[in-house]
Amino acid sequence: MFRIYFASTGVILLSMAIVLSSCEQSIDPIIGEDRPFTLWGYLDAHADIQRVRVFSIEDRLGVDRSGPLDAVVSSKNLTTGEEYKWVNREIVYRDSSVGHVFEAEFRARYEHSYRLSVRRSDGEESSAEVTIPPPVEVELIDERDRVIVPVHIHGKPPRLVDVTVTYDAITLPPANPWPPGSTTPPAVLLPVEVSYSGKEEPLEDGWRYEINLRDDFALVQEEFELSCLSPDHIALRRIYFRFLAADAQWAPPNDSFDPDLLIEPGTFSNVENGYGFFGGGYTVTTAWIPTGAILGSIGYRTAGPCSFGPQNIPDCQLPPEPCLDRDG
Amino acid sequence: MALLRRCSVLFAIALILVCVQPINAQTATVRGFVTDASDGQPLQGVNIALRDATGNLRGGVANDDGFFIVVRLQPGRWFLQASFIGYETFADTLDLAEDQVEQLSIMLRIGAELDAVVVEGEREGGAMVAAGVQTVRPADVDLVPTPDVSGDLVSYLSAMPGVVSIGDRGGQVFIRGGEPSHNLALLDGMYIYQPFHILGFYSAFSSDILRNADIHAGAFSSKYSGRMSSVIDVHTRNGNLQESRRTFSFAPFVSMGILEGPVKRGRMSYLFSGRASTIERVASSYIDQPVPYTFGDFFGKVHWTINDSHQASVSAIHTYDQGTLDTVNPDSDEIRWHNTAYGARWLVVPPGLPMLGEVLFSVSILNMERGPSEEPDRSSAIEGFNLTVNLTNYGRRTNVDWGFYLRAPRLDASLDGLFQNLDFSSDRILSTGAYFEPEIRFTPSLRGRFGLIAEFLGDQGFHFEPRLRVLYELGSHRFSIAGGLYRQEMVGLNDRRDATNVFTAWTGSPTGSLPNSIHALLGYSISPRPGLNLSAELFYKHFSNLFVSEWTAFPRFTTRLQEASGRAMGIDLRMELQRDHFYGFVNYGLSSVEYNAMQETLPVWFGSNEVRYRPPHDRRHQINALLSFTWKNIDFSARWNFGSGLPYSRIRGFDGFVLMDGPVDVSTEPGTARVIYDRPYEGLLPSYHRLDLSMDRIFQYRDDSFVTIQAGVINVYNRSNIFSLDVFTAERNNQLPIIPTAGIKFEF
Repeated sequence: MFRIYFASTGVILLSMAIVLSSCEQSIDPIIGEDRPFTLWGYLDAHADIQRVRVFSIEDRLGVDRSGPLDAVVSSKNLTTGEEYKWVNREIVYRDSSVGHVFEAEFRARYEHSYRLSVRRSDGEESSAEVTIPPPVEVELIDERDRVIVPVHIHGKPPRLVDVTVTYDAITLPPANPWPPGSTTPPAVLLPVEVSYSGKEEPLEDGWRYEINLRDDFALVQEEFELSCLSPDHIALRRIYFRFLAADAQWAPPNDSFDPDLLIEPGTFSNVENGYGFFGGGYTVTTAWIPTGAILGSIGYRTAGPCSFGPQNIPDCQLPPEPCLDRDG
Repeated sequence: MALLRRCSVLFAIALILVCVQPINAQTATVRGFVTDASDGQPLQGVNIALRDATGNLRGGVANDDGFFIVVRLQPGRWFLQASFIGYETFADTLDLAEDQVEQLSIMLRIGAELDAVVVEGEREGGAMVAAGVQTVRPADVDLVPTPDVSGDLVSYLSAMPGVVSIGDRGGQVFIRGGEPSHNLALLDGMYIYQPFHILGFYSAFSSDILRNADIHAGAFSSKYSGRMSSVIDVHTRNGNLQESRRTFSFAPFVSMGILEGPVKRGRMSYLFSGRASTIERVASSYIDQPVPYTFGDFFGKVHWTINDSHQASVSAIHTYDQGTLDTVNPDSDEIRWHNTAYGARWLVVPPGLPMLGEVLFSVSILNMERGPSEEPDRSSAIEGFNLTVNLTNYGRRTNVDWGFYLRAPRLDASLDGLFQNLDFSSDRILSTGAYFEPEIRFTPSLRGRFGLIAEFLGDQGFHFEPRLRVLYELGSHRFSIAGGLYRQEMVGLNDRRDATNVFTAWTGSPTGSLPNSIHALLGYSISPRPGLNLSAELFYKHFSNLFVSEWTAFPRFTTRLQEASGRAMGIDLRMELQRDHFYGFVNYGLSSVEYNAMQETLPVWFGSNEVRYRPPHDRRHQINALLSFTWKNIDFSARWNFGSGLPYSRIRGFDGFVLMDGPVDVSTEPGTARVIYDRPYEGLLPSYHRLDLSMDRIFQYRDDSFVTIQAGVINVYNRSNIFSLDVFTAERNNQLPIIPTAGIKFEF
């Protein structure tokens, strides 16, 4: 009985070994993607040249390498029927990667719809449709004399994206440094951006924002401290209010431009048979300078070697230097 | 709720007080230790039988310290027999008076007519598997072929159903769905946080120092706490109490030396062992693959039998590992770790009480680093002490295990952005608690253990963990059920997206929620004829508050942590056959592990709040077959192992990403490369299988001197088993190819 069991077990083991000693099983971890292209860009109603970045979806790393791209890009104004062929430009970016950016010379028209198509030689096509928002008018109310400045945006663009107030702030060294003879610190221009996205209130014919210069001054001071600049001697050269009037599709999930979320394919995309996002819009910028009295009441300094206008003093134009190692 | 908790504590204390009572008046007790007369080693499993003049039979079985106790004996004359297969039976006549506690020290001599092989052949096999527990002895371990003259516990572990290792390197062992950091590894009561060496054939537990190991694959008892999947409780043997012995072995993978002997003959012994890898110097010369691994361990133990009632031992261990797991790119980041632990154990039999006590104190340290040795990128360290008191009160129908513990590990981790939402961490985790677990013998065939742990975890407050084990025997049939709640105060974080990245960062819970699990087991075993054991065990584990890597399309090496829950379930089947010169088993494990991850980005990515996936250690099918026999004084062993493919995440393609969060000029903004992943872990790697053979023969050249010569082949049919796959380049990293091995061991 034992011998039979032993013999049969041995035979089974040996048979299994022979049967299973097959050659190396191949394995391909890349299963392929049917969609041909990923598109990034937008039609700009204020630009004379339109651009779109085109990635072909490939089964190997290095889609940002140099070389021809099997893609033909065209656009059609669905309102007028006007068509354009876009031209491929190979661009070497600052990180040495190479991109294929297609360009076309035309200005997108307000409230017109466009269709962008990217076609591969085998007929596979990715496309996106976009409608340019209507024009807007920005109204600043008593902007020079107020600490809290109301801004009315007339016209009803579907989305306002990247609404920012930029403070062109500059360090203003004291006229007479103490103790006498000590080095005067350089004047440094440090634009500070404060986001107002999501702070809008709806109006009947548009949107309303309230720019709070005093609250923002605290943020400006914080930014100067982070850049190792004195927060006690800050002057203000100009304030910019800027936003992108965008089409309805320019709406990320959760209303947040979180790159860790948006990088997931398909999470923020209007491209048919492809990935990416192709929007429509235009940038609006308004600028003003508050009165000295208002600036003084907020905490900004109003005298120093750097004037508020253009000048040739290098120290007034230098970007801030990193200072992380200054004190060890 | 608070009232209920207080009541539970009071109830537990009351039960303890009831149980801790003096030996009942008008009755006598017989207790003591059984050892092997030749070397003083305690003998586990010795049957102690007491018979009086009227034929009343009472008895017990020696535990792993060789301790036995028979309580509540009527005063009078009793005939005692201590028997163990392979040893001469010890017999004595005892005249017991009222209230007498007879303390014995029994030394059994090896039976002249039986040799050691027979002892091994007759040892309990399948019977040692019950409700998730398997007791493994050195003889079991030595049956599994390894590239060494001596065996190693990890080789036996990997032959158990439900135990998954990612490959033949990395030191990562998953037990029934639990992650490596969910396993509690104890060596003589000392915590060993990373017990497995970088090369998968070896661990800190060489069979040469092993007395036994209890492998609790799940549903373990209240004696163990602080881990939520499994327990590997290893006990080392004592040094030889009678004579000095030296053992040296040399093999292409590791070489080893052991010194042992009496400090005071019959009372105090020492045991020192050291192993060092030689694979990087010897085996590498004929292996067609880089093997950049260096590892080893040193162990020392001094054991002292103070008197019949007290024993003490001091142990220490140091292990080290260093290497690169990616053999395709051997210049990639190196990983290093070392464990250091030292501890003391005091075993006491209190006079006048039917009780056995054990006090354990140990300090354990783990340091793990990844990157250049002079400036590691990532590091993780644990340093902490453990004080445990385990007590057992013996009654006629009820034994009560109870005890308390205090642990305070300090955890430090520096992660170099591996997890973007956790960079540096430093925690001191204080946990203290008590447990109470009576074992009640309802009938001779039905017994149950009902345990409760009450634990205080600093800011986390009090926790209670109930445990249950019931065993029912009906003839040759054994049925068992077990279950309980398990909690873990420490978290081992690992980026499992990359199989070659075994760096584990130990921290407190990143969210404050403690990982925990619920276990349930249902077991059945039968011995239809002598030497044949069949067993089946169903298991289910549910895990909560796991931390796993986030899914992201960024092709980067860093990630963020996300919370997950999970479950593991399956069945283990085992058939074991043993004869005089033959031993073999076949086991099959069917399991399914599923994680359920919750991530902020999931609703927009997958359209639901969660994603269910098979984690990379979900090996669905596993078969292990072991055959061992002796022919013409040569021991032959063969082991065949099959595992179905492990899950991995496939890629659909590559493109680029530009964050369109405003009027972005795509002619100046370079964007970033992107990976378009398929749904996570939907691909399957090829299945794994391997046949290992070994043969060895012992030559005796003096009365007490032996030479063992061993030869074997690992991966006999040169199967190209995959270890890891670079999904970006499709480059595969294979496990070890066919390797012939040979070794020699001298014992004198």
